[in-house]
Amino acid sequence: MNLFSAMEIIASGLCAQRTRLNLVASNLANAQTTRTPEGGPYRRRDPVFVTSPVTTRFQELRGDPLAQHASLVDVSEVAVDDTPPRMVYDPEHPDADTLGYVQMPNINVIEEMVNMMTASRAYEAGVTAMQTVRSLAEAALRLGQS
Amino acid sequence: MSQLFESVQPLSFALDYHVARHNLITSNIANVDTPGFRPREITFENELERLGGSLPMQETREGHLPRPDAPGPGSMRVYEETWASPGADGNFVRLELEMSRLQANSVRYRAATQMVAQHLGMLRYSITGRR
Repeated sequence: MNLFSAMEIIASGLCAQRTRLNLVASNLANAQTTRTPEGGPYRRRDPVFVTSPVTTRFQELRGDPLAQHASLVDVSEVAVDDTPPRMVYDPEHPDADTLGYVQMPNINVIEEMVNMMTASRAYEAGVTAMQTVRSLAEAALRLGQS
Repeated sequence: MSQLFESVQPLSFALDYHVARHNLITSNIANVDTPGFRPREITFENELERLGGSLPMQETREGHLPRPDAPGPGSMRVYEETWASPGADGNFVRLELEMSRLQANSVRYRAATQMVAQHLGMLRYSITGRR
């Protein structure tokens, strides 16, 4: 457990939040998509985060107790939201059923905007933490200059 | 004469290692958009063992790093990193991870250069008697 593994942990968080932002962007872009290769309207996608151990060979050999408590974050899978599609009455739409209803994606744009903001705040927090770690490392280096 | 610089020798290897690693990391960052690119990382476990010849590591306390049994060919090994989820174009580069490695590597490099400077400063002191 050292400053450099802190950097690695923060980087994993940044990667995870970026994946989340990508999925939010995909959800927003496809909020009106009625046709997909798997058939039917687009379905909302959400990342599933999972902890993953910080394993450097060195810490493994040392049996570092602190390393067992800190963990990286990883995106284990992308979950597809199975809530039923929104039914919109639009008889002129080419994908309308016999009653004139169109199956629209199960996406709430406001919810996606909130997700986007939390993801972007989390990313910014990670960047700030990274800058702090860097300045700490530089402070440690200055100890050697006297 | 060779003994005079013996203490600086491992540090010069550290500098080499960090420069090589810096090059690899920047190449990974440059290829962030190359389809199918796999980032490269470097390991020097074998190199540590090679240095072990002139600078033996000893286990003086429980929990110390054990010495590897098999001496390696004595070179830095470059390997490709992959994980479960590449990008849509099969690119495995994680920009944030590479940037954090770049930062950590530059801090380590500066630590190594400072140590070299201090060693040489001590040699100069012993020669001239002046700080």
